[in-house]
Amino acid sequence: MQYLKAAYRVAASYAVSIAILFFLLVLTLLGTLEQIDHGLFAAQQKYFSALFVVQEVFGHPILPLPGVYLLLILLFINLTLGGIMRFRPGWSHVGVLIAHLGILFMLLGGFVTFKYSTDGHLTLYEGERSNEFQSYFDWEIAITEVRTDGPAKAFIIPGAQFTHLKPGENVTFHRDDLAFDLVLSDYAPNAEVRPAMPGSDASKSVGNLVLQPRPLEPEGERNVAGLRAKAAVKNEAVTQEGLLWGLSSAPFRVTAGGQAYDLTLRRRSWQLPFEVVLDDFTRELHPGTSKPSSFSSDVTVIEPQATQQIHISMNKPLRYKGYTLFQASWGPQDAGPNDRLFSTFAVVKNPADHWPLYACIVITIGLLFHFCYRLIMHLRKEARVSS
Amino acid sequence: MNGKKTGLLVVAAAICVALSPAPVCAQEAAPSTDAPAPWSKDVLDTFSVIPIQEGGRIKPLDTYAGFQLLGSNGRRTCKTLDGESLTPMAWMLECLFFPERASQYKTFLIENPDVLSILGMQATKDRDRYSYGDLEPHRTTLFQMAAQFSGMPDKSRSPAQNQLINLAHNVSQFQQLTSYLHFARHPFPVGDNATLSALFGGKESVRLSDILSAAAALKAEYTRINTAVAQGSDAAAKADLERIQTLIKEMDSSVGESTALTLIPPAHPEDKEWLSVATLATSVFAFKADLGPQVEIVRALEGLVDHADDPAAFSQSATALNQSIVNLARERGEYDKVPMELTYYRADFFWNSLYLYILSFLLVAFLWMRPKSRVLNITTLIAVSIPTLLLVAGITMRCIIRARPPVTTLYETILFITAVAVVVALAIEFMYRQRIALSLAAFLGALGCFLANKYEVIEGTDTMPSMIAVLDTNFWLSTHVTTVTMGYAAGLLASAIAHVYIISYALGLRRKDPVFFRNLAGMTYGVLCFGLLFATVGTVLGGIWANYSWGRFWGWDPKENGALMIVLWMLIVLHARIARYIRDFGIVMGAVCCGMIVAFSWFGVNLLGVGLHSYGFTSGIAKALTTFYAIEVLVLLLGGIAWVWRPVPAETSGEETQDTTPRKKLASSRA
Repeated sequence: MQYLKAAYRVAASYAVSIAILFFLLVLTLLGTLEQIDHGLFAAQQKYFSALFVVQEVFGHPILPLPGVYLLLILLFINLTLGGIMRFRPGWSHVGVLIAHLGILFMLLGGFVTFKYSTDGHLTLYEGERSNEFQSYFDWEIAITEVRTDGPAKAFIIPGAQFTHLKPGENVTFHRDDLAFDLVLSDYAPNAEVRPAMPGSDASKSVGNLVLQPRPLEPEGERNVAGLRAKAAVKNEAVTQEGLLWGLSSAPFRVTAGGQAYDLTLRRRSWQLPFEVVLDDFTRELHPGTSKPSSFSSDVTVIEPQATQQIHISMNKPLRYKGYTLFQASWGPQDAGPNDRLFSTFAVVKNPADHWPLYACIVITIGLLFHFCYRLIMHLRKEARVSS
Repeated sequence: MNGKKTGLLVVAAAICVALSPAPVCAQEAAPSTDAPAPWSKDVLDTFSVIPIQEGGRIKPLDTYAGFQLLGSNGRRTCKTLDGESLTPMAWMLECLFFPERASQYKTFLIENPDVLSILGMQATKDRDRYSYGDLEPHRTTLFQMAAQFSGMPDKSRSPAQNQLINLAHNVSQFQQLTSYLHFARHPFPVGDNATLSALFGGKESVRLSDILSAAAALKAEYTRINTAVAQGSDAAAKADLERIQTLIKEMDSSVGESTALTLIPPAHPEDKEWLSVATLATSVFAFKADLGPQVEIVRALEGLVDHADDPAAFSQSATALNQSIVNLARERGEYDKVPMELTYYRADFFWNSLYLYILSFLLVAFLWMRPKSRVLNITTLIAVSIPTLLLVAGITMRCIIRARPPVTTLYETILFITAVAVVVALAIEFMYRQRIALSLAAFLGALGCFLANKYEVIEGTDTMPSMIAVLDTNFWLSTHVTTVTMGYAAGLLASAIAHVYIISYALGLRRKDPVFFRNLAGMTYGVLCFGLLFATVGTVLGGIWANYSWGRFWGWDPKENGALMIVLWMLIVLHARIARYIRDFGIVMGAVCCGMIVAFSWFGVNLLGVGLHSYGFTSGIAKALTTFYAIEVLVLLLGGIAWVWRPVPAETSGEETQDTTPRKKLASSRA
């Protein structure tokens, strides 16, 4: 019990608060500087979404640090325990308490967003329609039966099952209702497929092709993943090997048990509960310049029961059925006046969508109350001194 | 100027140069270089208030001329060969009406001798000004090299290469300006062609305004003759057709150079894009634009060229030009803010504030010598308040002109942060009455105005640019940007007060006056609290803006991270104080570090060249920032060394400082 009390005192202490804040500051600085050479996505993965970071000093990985993710969890615990430990009734503490509750709520919102939100993009040319949006970064493998005589079965292997693979490692995907097991290996988060050079390592090539890993792009969404896939047909000593690559023009076809399957590596995708048609995309320029003054899309939202026309522009998204569609980008950038344009919407589903606003209001009220209370006390004291 | 845009302009300019192998102004049969009297005030005023569309907005011609000259010459004046100083408007009139003379003025500032080496020119000084005449023989090399450097990635270009690109851009702009009125200097011969003679009332030669006025008849005649020729008409019809074609080609070639000034409001209210003489002529003949009163503008420009040597007639033509354009702009509802903008630039708020802050700082120095002088006290307070009012008035006028909140660009952050820091410092002075905050108000006011003016000179472009699409929301600009900038201002002010503490302590000043130090620490603490409120709320509001506009609350963008670092550091300092890990000395040392973090967030992250906040990218501040950090490290070292060798002035604990009444302490100290 004594140890528990001591641990509680330490966990709720100012020393721990300050240490957490200091580490957060250092990691924020390091993560910002990391972006110069490696881009935002890599910095985010290394510092901000990680539990631990091994910082390189002069090129040597020697300084272990807690990651921002872990620090925010610790800060949440520290704030909660500190609030309980230092709670005193009275007006002088009310403002601070409210502000800290607001911060707790914001941290909670961050956690919910991190864990449970879904985000991706939906790109449509004028006249096109879709109810599916894709991830910017995540990949999945789709295994689809090739069938013309009825509905085809599809199996999805989520990226989480293979994106952790390091060179030399492999993982086997098995399902009872699938006629083959799939062995996945040599995952590369950014790669290209090239013809194998004469004399190159035959074990690395598939047919006359080889998967060549490439350095990660500073913009994470520009990475194109690739990996090797070996299909081991059940109850037969037959294997079929192929390369899965994010930009492949044709799927890797496997035949097992008299059935053909197409395997593709694609961006992870989700279904919207409604369909979106891009009716028109408008780009306006400031007069006499090539500087855009606004982008907007006229869309039709189609559901079985009804359709509705919506105008989406910068700073004015569409919020519908828990999803938000933001005007994100457009193209082709070199389009002429009569060319068909496409519009890209960032699509987000976030259960904690409005929590930051609520937290901000609470924090503002708390801080304002605290500082105004202090000021009033100060002025009263002054008045007493003068009298 | 933005590198990519400059690059495009230079490439475009290089193409123009390739098409016209010799500079226009050298070819001109321009009016004599013996000038009439200097430009009269009336003429300058008449031209200054003429509206022009540039950079996506309507502005006075004077503003346009000011930034053209500033961008090229590094200052808003230009010396004639006689040593007379020209205003931007006078310089622009010289370029338009006396191009040969203007080409002899030294209006191109070259700050890097390597630029001259690239051009094969002899450097007289490291930093010097050159005339168009000096650069003209190297023009081809200039544009070729600029096109080559523009193709390189921004990050890999050297300062000299960047400057050469800017020089090419400025030279190109100058050429466009000097050749703008080429069409008015050379009437188009009609010759003895009967058809054309009949169309133009028997004139032997016609002006552009005549051709534009007769455009409809000319086109009809052309169509009639063309049809007749197609049906196998006689040789006379063919000759007529060829003569009309030649006239239109001559006109096309002549007005092709009149693109620099988009002075002509379009006829249709729904057309947003104003026209230059070139685009007007092209549009009229392409059936894209109706010709109404716009032709009067062309006629007035021709009149100005005709009367360039006759001041009285020139003044009349200037008035006619002014009235033609202003009336059209008024009808479109686009003129209202033009006179106000002219007043804004003429009032020169921020240079005048700078001078007055310097003056008030001198008065503060006298006040330290005669602290009991009531007259001096009041005078100094007024002396600091006047430039502050000017600063606030300048910011307010910018808000009205742009119909925007006070902060939308990096330049405006400097103005706003200065104003907030000075006003908060004056409020602190009101509470403490120790002259410290008053001195800092004068110092920070002068420093802020100096930085703002310097920034404007370095950038050399309009400080009221049109907004990029993503920032076009007054609600978030007025909430997030304003509050977070107030947080910056507080961080910097706290740092400034802390400097006074550390330097006084290290130098052993007021050693026997612990209240002096306690009050300084109290001020620093108070300003940090103020800063925490605004930095926290501002940073969170930024996240909410991002969440509601782009779908993500926090994107770890460098600018966001900078703001977060300020909040985190303020929290560290304030919590360390509550926990009594630090006291007064710790607070002030922490405040100096806070200033360094604010500088990183404010300007440092812009040097990284990554992130979404592209409105804040600038170059040329790395040296100033490095110097700032070197000074701050020295101040911290100074404080640290003093702390080792000298006892810290009697300190207050966390709670004591909050509850201490400054005046009472001051009174007891004096007693």
